Amino acid sequence: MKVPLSWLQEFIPVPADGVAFDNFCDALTMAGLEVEEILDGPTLYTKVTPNRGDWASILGTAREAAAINPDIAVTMPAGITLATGAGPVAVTIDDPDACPRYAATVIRGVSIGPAPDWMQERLTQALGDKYKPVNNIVDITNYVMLELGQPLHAFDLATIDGGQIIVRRAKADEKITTLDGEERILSAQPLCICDANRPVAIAGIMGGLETEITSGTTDILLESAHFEPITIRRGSKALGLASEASYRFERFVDPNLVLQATARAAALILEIAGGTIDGPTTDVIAKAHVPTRVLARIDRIRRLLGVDIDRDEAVAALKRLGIDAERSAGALDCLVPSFRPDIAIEEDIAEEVGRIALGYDKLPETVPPVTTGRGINAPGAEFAAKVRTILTGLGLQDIVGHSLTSPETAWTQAEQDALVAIRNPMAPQYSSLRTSLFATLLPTAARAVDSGIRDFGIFELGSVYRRTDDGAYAEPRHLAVILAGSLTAGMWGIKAGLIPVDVYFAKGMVEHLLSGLGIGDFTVTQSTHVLGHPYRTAEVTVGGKVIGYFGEIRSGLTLPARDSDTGQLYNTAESIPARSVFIDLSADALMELQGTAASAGGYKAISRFPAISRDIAPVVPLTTDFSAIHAAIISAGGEFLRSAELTDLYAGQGIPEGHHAPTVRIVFQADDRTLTSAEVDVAMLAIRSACEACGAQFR
Amino acid sequence: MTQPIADVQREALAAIAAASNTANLTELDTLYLGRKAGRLTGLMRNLGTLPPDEKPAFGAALNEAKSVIEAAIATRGAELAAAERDAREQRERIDLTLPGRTPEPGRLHPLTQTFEQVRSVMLALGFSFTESNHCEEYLFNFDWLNYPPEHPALDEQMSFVLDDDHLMRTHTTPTQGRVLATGQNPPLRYAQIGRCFRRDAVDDTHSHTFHQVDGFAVDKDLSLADLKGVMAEIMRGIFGPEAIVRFRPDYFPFVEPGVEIAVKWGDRWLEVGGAGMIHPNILRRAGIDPTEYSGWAFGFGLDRMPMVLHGVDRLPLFLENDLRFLRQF
Repeated sequence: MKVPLSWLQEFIPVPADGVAFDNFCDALTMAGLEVEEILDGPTLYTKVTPNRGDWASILGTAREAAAINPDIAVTMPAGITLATGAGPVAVTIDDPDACPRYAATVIRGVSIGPAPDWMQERLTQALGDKYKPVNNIVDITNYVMLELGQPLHAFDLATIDGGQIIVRRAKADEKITTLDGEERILSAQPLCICDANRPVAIAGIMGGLETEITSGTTDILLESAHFEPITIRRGSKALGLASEASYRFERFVDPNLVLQATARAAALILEIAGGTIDGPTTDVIAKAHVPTRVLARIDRIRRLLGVDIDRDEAVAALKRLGIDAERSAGALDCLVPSFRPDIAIEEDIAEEVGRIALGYDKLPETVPPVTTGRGINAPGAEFAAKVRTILTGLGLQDIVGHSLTSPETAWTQAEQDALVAIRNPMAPQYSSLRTSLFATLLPTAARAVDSGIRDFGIFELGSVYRRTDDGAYAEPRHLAVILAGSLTAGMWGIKAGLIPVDVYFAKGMVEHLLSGLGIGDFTVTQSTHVLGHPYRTAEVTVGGKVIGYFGEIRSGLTLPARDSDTGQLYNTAESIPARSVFIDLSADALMELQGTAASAGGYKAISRFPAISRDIAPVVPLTTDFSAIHAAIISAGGEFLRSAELTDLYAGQGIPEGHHAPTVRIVFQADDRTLTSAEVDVAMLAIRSACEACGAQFR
Repeated sequence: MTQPIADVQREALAAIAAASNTANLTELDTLYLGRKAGRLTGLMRNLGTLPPDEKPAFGAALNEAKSVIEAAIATRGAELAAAERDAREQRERIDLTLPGRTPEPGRLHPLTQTFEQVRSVMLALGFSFTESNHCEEYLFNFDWLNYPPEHPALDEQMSFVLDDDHLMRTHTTPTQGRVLATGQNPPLRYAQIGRCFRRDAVDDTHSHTFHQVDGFAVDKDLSLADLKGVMAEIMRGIFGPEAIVRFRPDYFPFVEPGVEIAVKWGDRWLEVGGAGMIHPNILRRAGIDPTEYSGWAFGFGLDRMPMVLHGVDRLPLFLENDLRFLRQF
């Protein structure tokens, strides 16, 4: 709410400027009514919380300031005394729950013209661009709304058929053209203000065009009513139409303002537009407002706040807030004023006492004992931390990507079928949830390349989203990695790209990760993946279950996404460096399997006796899998074989076409003695024949 | 009779003193002390030709001369070796201003770093952490949290709608209902760190996707002062021991009284989040008697925090993942 200082000063004394003014604003802020900004004027720009509709007025702001400061009292502007009774316009309320009170006042012989400059100036300050000068009558109704918080409406009395007002629900297909010129078709929502024949206004939201005040108007009907918040909110939502009036009614307007605002508006109209009041105001109270009583125990207030509040100070503060608090056997019997619908329970009274009698700046800091034992981390978070430690240790950059992306990133039929779409998206590039981490990781890689970084290793551990067959939402966690360029890039003196990434780096990372997580035997078999080169992609299987894939990113892929800024479609795969590799694992599966390896958590004693190592370099056809050779070596190696590791893979001079020669370093060791060379020779002979049995030859 | 010994010794000492390198010295060692043709060794052979009464004195003189020469060779040898090593090392001087050589190290994303810092502070304060889905039910996002149906408070949480019953959670506060709905008995102290979504246009300080931590406790006699104490502990854990916590009244349907939390860091007040005493309606819904137990709850954003701590001027940078940005953390 924009509160012009000069206007506020009509209600309470406020320092005009300087430190005193700043302190005044700070005090309001610290008591709950935040002064967000000081605008030209000066005008206080305050933040009205949804529970405090009463703050959406000059009066409400003044009242709050007076409650904070015992030295300030609110002065009400002069009104006139209105007679009430059966006035010239009859009022019928069909729906007392939706409209508990309606007051109609007739003023005849007004002169329509522009509002005086001072009023236009204030309305401009308070409403900014939203203020369009209409005429003196309409501007006065808006002025009083801003001043007291009560929305008002003025009709041209000559256009009201039958001299009566009926407050009722709209009939099906009833129409009204509102003041903004739009024709609106009504239904059971919203509530309408009608004359004898038709709706003339949408209650609490906007008046009708046909009954508006024009330059030819001489007699007016002034409406001041109390509408129930949910009725107005529903009507506003149903029509897609909100106004300053509906904003206030949704937040509850003090029912006791009905006559007070009429009197204030009538006084201004008589002063500015002339005319005379015709007869009494018809004030129909269909449902009387029942004041709220709250019994608040002093002890309970003290325990909730954690501070020893003085009872007399509490009572005084509540009185300043307009809450009539009477002592009653260790409790305060509080009568809540009609402008404070937010106060309903003991805790609400505790808050008022805390913020006004004490002030939260004086609230002590106490640290309560921990009665729940040590804090235990979420298993998923603990697992994620472990994975991130392993992968950053391997030189990978942790990525945290968006969940919202474009539906075009569901690159497979299965992903399209499971796509979760946002019903009310802001932009196409944020209109669905990612079905794969690559939907955001590939754009991250593309962005790196575009920024000149061609050598990198990145990973993301995060959720993807799927609609399941039964309509539920699943959020499986995945782990995705992209490696591009070379791991030796940026190291001077080492030829650029000397060690380009390849599928074996991806495999090595998978091996390290699984071993770090305590996951035992896994197998790797050739497979397919939406990103993968058809002959360089593998699936990883543990215990018969596929837990993910790794491979080389296939060239020439089209994997569309929308640019996060412009929303333009582009191919995320286009700028990925050739021969980049990927890993795509189910983090949920890894989490479930972690620590299941037979060796997990255990330790193997280190032999005190020397090891003997021998190299072997069988020449094998390219079509023979290394795993076959390796398995043959392991099984033929005997009880002292400790390891057999590939150290080189040679093809070229001296090796027949279609063959290559893996060099395998084999280590032998005994736990209880030093092995003899002869023992190792025997084992090596057996290994050699086992290799030959696999089709290997020796040079 | 011992004159020849004295002559050899004098000559040897002069030559040792004049030796210019260790190889030279090795030659002198052979020349004077060599077992076959050494000059001193040669005099030793004269011993047999001497009369018996002169032998002891001659022998003693020989041994004396031998040890003097040996000592001189050792001393000079050490001197020359040190000088030669110095010279060699000097030739091995390298340019230490050439750049270092290392593969690009792996780094944690700044948001991950923030989450883990907050998590460790809160674990130490006894909070146990839970996790729940981003696709949330209205039931837990609003209903459980005492949002009145059709209330303007809902307007403050412009949400992404999935279907009539689900939305992208607008805060991590559903943690409360999710834990309380399990029917656990107090005392309770739980928290969640996670991602939230609001229909908010992207600009320098806003994004439709952001992160929060929510914590709550239910116990006998918990107070607003306790909440302030715990918030101060958490904020000091994040911003350092000088941080000061300020409460001012604010409104959230799930707390009463409700407060906004601000932290003084340096000379600025940073509004970090909201908190308050858990609304008795929520405790009652969970089957907890609000006359016997009270609780507090708080939530604060985790994206602005690294912005402030690192002086980052654009919030969207975090989820854009530009490696030139991420490699700075």
